[in-house]
Formats: sequence, structure tokens, C-alpha cells
Amino acid sequence: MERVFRFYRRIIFSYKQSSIMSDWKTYMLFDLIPPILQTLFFSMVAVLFLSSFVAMSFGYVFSCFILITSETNLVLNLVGRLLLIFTGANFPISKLPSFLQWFSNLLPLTRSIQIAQGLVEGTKFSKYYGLVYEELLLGCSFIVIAIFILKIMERKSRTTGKMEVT
Amino acid sequence: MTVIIASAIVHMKQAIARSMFRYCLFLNPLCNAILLGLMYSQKSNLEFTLYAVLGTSLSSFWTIICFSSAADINRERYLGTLPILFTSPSGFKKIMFGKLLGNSLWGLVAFLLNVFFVSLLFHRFLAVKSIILLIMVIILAVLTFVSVGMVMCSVFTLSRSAGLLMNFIEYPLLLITGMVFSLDYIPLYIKWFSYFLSPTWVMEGFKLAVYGGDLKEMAIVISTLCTLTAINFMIAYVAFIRVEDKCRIDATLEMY
Repeated sequence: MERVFRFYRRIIFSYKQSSIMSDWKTYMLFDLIPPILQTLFFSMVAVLFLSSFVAMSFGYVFSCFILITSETNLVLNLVGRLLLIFTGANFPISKLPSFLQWFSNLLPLTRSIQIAQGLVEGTKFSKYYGLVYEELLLGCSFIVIAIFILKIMERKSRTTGKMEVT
Repeated sequence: MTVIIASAIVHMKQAIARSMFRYCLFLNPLCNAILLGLMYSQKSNLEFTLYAVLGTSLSSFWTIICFSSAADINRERYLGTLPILFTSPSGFKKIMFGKLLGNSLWGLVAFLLNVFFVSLLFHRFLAVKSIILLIMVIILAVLTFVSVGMVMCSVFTLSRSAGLLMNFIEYPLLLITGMVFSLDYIPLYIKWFSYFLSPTWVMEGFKLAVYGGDLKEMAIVISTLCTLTAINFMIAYVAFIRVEDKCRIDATLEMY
């Protein structure tokens, strides 16, 4: 990962060297935006977008199951409770038994909550890039999984004819 | 009396047949027990008993009352049986009282299940100073929740947004009545409002049962709880009479 960062740093450096220093685009892109992004407010906004993305992806997976079950409220309430328990929203994940802690890492919002807590405690957003990438990867994985599940559920709902059952 | 008991029994059978109610009865207490149990796991035995065992059990009880009272009226309306109940010779109030009594008995089951789950998962049992007071408060809690449910039912008979309202009132009441944390954390002006709600006094009763207290304090809590329950019943009675008139004038009982 360090090599990749070094590679991009070199590109930025060469771009700044080659461009005119008074170029407002250069100023905006490399000198103004990064410090602003490090402020608590914008960092929290970024975490909000990140958590929205991963929650949306997770919601996509669950929406697929609604094609074959009429117990929407049951599923949603149960999943809501499980997320409260396993994502560390109300208490640290370290309180959970070790065999359940790995399950927390497979859930959305676990890392977003961790980042948000860290930001409030004063840690810089740049320290959490690793967790941000992991959360993005998790969100993308949910979307890919949902696409496959949706195909299966569509076929199943056609064969069982349960789509209009309430 | 026969009408009330028959209505309660039929309602209990109907309720348990629904998967969402089974969730409220079995899974919700389990999830509540895990959530509050882990939140209070580092606290003293007394605080753990008050919030993780009794508070969370009461919140499961409240969830059942809140969702059932509102949803029952909505369900009857959806099925088209609300006008039939309304015009029944036995009386709408008696039938609704029976339904709420059935809900409260299931709520009591959820309460006991919650206590069982916390004890099983965390190996921490009820650390109470006065078990008699605890039992008295639990019995009064059943009655007070029936009265709160009656008030809610009378309101939801008129409103067609029961689903929205029941979701809207569940969490705020959990927070302002001190079921999940101490009332010392909430602002003073909200605290004043909390003391007009009977679940707050149920929690005060639990606090006295857990931490102990003199007879005067116990008498104040019990008498306030009884008074608020009686006031709720009176409000519900007056509201039902008004609602009956309004329903006849507006004829909106069958509108879904």
C-alpha cells in the first residue's frame, strides 16, 4: 500500500512542479481541499456518505429476500436489532465473545462507527484510510452478492408465485 | 366480566399466531437482553439489575403494548371488523379492555422471558432488597400498561396513521421514562414531563425495590402509580365516549 501512496505522491509532486504555482486549480486540488477535508465536520460528512453507501448496499441484499417472504417487518426489525448489537453502536465490540467479533467485521457500519468514534476522540481522518477502503470494499461486495441473489430470488418468486402474497 | 375474559383469550390466541408478535414476544426480549446486558456488564449488581434486567424487561413489555394497541385497531380496520366490534351489544370498551388485558398478559410473559434470558446469558440474578415491592410494582405495571393502552386505543380509533404513531411513540417513551438509563441524564423540563407518565413511576418502584427505601418513599411511589393509572383509565373512558360520538358523526371507521 505504501508503494501505491508513494507512486501517487510522485505524480502530484511532478504535476505541481510542472504547473504554474498561481494556477487556481492546483491550489484548490492540492493545497486547499486536503486540509479542509481533515476538519471534523467534513470528515464526519465523509463518514456519513460512506456509511450511507455501505448501508444501502446491505439494504439491497435484504430487499432481495422480500421477493420470497411476506414477513418484511419481522426481517427488518430483527436485522435492525442485530446491527445494534454487533456493529458496536451501543457498546465496544471487544465486549462480544471472540467468535462473534469476526461476524461484526462482516457487517456494515462497524468500521464507519469505529471511524466516527475515532474522529470525535480527535484522531485525524487520514489515519483511517485503511478502514475506509475496507468499508468501500464491503459495500461493493454486498452489491455484487445482491445482484446474484436478486437473480435467484426472481426465479424463485416466479416458481413459487409468492410475490403478491401479503 | 365474561366478555372481557373471552375477548382476552381470543385475542391472545390471535396474537400468538402472528409472526411479528412472536418476534416481539420471544426474539425482542432476547435481543434487548443481549444489548442492555452488554451495555451494563461492567456496572454494579444493583445497577445491572435495575437497567439490564428490570428496565429492559419493562421496555419489552412496552414494545408489546405499544405495537399491539395501535396495530390491533388498525388490523380490525383493515379486516373490516372494527365497525362490527364498535356496534357489538357487549360494548366496544369492554372488548378493547379484554384485548389490552390479553396484550398485557403476553407483555408479562415477555417481561419474565427477558429476566430469564439476562440471567441465563450473563449469570447475574435479580439483586433486589424488597421482593414484595417488586411483585407489587409488576402487578401495578400490568394495570398501568392496560390503562395507557386504552388511552392509545381511543386515539388510534380516530387516526388512520396508527402505524406511524406507534413507531413514533415507542422510542421517546423508552428514553424519557428512565427504562434504559437514569433520568438524571435528561434535561429538567423533560424530567418534569416524565413524572406525568406512569411507566416512570414503575421504574421508580423498581429502583426502590432494588436499592431499598423507607416505607414513606414506597407509599409515595405506589400511591402515585395507582393515581396515574386511575387517571389514565378515566381519560380513556371519557375519550372512548367522545370517540364513539365522533365516529358516528364522521363515519370513518371503515376508511383505511
